[in-house]
Amino acid sequence: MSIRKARGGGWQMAARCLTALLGGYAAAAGIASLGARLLPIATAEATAWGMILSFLIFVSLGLWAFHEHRLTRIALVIWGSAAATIGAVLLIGPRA
Amino acid sequence: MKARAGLRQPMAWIHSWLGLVAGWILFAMFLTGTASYFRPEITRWMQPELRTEAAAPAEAARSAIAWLQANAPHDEQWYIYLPDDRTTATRIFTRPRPDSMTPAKRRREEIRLDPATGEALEARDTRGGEQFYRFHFQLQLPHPWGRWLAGLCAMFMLGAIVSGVVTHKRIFVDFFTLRWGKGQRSWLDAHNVTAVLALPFHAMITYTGLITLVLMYMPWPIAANYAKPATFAVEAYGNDPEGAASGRPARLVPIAPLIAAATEEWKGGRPSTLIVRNPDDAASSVTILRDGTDALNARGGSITYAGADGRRLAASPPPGPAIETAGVMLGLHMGNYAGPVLRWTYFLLGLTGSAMVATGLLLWTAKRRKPGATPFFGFRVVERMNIGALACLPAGMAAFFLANRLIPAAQPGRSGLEVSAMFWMWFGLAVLSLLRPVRRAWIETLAVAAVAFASVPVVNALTTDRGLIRSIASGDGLFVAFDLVMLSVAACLGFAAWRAAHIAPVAPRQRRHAGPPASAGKELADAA
Amino acid sequence: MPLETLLLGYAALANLARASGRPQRVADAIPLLRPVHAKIAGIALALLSLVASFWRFGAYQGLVAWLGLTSLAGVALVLLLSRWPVAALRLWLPAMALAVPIDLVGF
Repeated sequence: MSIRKARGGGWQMAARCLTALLGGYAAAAGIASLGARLLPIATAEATAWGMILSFLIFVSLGLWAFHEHRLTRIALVIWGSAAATIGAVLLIGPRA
Repeated sequence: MKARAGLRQPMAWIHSWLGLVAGWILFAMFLTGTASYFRPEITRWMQPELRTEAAAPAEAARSAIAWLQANAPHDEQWYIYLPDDRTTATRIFTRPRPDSMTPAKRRREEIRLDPATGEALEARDTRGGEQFYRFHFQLQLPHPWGRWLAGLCAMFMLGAIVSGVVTHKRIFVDFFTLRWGKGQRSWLDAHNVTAVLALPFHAMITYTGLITLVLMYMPWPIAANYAKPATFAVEAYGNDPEGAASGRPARLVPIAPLIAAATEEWKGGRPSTLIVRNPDDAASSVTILRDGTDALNARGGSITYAGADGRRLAASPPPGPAIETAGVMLGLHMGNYAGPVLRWTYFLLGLTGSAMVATGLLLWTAKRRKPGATPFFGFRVVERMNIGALACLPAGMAAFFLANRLIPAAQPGRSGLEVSAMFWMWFGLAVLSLLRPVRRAWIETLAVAAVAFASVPVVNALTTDRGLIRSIASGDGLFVAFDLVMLSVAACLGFAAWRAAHIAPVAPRQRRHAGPPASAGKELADAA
Repeated sequence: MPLETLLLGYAALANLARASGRPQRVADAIPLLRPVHAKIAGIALALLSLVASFWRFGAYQGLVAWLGLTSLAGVALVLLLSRWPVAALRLWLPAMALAVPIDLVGF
């Protein structure tokens, strides 16, 4: 369990897991949605690509959260990108 | 290589935890999903009194419409699922017109017809192959929690696959290595071999599994693009004609020419489903859905005709690359396109996947077993859960089949009783196994599961006139194959029980890594 | 029976296993080919099974079927290798030889 020690104790581990799971989902949803919204192809096609690729984004972010040592950096990147992309999608609004 | 080594350690760590947390559910999903490759065949086995023969789609459609016109002429919608080589009965259900009595558009119960005669089929009430299929992604939990839990586990599986590939040092060197009877080393070999050899299958089945419920798991790109989510389905799969009835009565044109026209337009593609709207009205429509089995795409497209005069009204748009990709992924997961050889291949690869999960779980305990020391609490929990999942679930599945033959065919509520039998056997056996020492528990639960599977052909022969010998004599491939699979599974489980009994953890104090009680034979049995 | 892809895949993987020289003592038990030749034969047989798969299952399903059947052949090979290593490797020749006639057996 040396990895656990290197990655901080109980609370830090819990924060890391939550960030990977919930934050990772939010960021994947946000990135996929923003990509689907901005991709300059037919709307249905862009939407489908976003949905198909979203799980790839999710799993990459989730695993990265356990690879990176600094918890603050993980939280910043994952929650930050989630907030930024979801905010952008809400700001732009749906295609006409 | 330093960067890679730095990557490997955390990935190995997350791999073992992802696998442990989701492992037991994933094992159940793998096993029931594998059985679901034979969903219609299992249903047919579970209704032995039916012996329908497949009929041509046009003939089945004609007889079904005749039945509906006689029995439900004024309902708003008819759904007709045409028979094929594997499902030999026509399945129909209808939705009544909304009125003061039935405000919601509730579907009526499904009815099955003999495609040749058009008569309703009477058979014992059972969930059949549908039970494993539904359990595979709903886990017998209330909607929507089962689907969310299944999705979470699938996501863990995806993470475990990626981190497992990163962790694996010599993926191609160890390709062919499987050493028996060497304790932890054997479990690692078995886990590697089952994972790596069928890696394309595991990766495909996991990712496409997520795609099957993508509309539920990841609807956000739709919300980002469309003010009304329903617009997406219309753009992607074509407009569903929801025309209101005109109020002028009219009769449907004969169905055979419409099916011939659709088949020609699809260059020989088979129709799978008919949806008839307002069948007694001048504004009626007939939508013919294409069977996906001749292409990988599970969404075969559709054509809609006017029911009153047979004019072609609309067709689904040709899919773009992304919609096509999603449809192919769906098709790959369901495997409906697969002919017999490919179907058996995927069945066996599904068992390999179950074995991969099982050996991974057993490896977790094998790694942490300290000879002589009192095992820590979590270890004992995992050990017991392994018994409950890996040995007791197969026993539960056998109990489901046995219950189908032993509960009287006319018993009210029998389909629910069959399901109860499965879960009582599964969880009951798991609870009983707690009373026994771990080694004995492995041996005994595996033996019970083996006996349960072996008794399925026996009970079948005693309670129906379609036993193994008669089935061979009459050339009934389905019933012969079913009995042979039951016997093979029983043999594998019996072999595992035998290994568990005879490969003793030889003098644990002398060996640094004593094997788990059920030693290397288990991966075979867990596959079964 | 459309099993030629499976049999050719088995023959291919058996040769590749022999070429990899993993079961060291065992590898020398194959009389017909030296490791270098086994590698070439393995790759050639793998390509042949791929062609056979496309020929049998068509353009849509060819690749999918090949991946599935080759994986299955691998599982069979590894199980045999673990118990009867010499026989498992020697089996490549009968497997290859059977590929065509088993096609003609009607089922």
